[in-house]
Amino acid sequence: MLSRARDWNASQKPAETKEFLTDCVRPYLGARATEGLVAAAAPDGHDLLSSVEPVLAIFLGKRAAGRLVTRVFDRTLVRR
Amino acid sequence: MFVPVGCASGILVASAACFAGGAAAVIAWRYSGNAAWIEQFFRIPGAFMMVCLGVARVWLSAWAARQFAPGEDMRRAWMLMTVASVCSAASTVLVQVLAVRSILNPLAHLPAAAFAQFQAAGHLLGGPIRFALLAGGLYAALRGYGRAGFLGRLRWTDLAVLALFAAYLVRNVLDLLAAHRTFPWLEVARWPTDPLLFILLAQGMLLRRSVQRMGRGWIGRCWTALSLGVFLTAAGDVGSWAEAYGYLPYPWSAVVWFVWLPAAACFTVAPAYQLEAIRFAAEEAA
Repeated sequence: MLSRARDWNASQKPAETKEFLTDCVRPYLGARATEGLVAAAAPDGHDLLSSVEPVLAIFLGKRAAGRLVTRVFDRTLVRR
Repeated sequence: MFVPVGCASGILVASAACFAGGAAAVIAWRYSGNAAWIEQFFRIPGAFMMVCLGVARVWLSAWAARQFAPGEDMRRAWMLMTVASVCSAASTVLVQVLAVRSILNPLAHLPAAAFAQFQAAGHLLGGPIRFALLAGGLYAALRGYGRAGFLGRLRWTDLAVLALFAAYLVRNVLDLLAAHRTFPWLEVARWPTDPLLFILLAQGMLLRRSVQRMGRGWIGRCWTALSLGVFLTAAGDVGSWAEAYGYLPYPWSAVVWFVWLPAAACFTVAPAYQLEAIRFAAEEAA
């Protein structure tokens, strides 16, 4: 997992990754909220999930948000 | 264990079917001139549906509260709304079942004085007590929106509606003073109902603006349904006042009777939407 994460980190395309994460989160938070969070994230998107998770946790609960974010992260790695 | 798929849709379809039945009863009443059509509709299927929605709301709200950890804003919100739902369901049973002579009432043999007591207790539970708890729940939800950074702002149209409702409150007080000379304690205990409804209306508008600020999503559906429930309740309250003081003549006053069913459906579908959003998140993760 860690080696895949390192490989992913080296080969990632920020715009594409951001778009994928946005697609996963938008149905829950809504388009405007998701776009706002994406716009506020770092250009390479490395902090996107860590900024989205607390917001999801407020509305879905920490358990559901944690599971969702972990799954989204895993799927991001698998896509690579 | 998750809420069944289509639970929210089921609530909406069942409510719409009951509403259509009520509309059919109105048509039958208008054509035949026999008011028993509409009376029997509200005494049996209408009352039964309201009780079912009330019970479902208690169950779904409690279930939604359990999805959040202690200390989370939405847990507090759903817990308060669960207690509000218990008051609402108890009020529905007292007012629409036990205070009415119908086949649904197991205490139909009691004297009319007992019915009046049931009705007064039901209005107290379903009025100020329920609204105070609901206002606490909505405050917790709005605090969640604030923490997330998506708390909306009231627009001038919202402020205009609130100003109109404030004017209604003043007019209501004047009508009350003019119509009554003595005030029994149960009547006085119900006085906070309308001021609490004013607070709920402001909260509902703020919630709606917050949802708009986030955009349409599964989370937003839940709070949109709740705010719509609050608006319909406020509209029903104003309609009931207009009917009681002769501002809304018969048969137009019949419209008011039909506000409570969609309002109850909105309050019931809101926790179902919350649970569905959590279910989708968990299924995506599975």
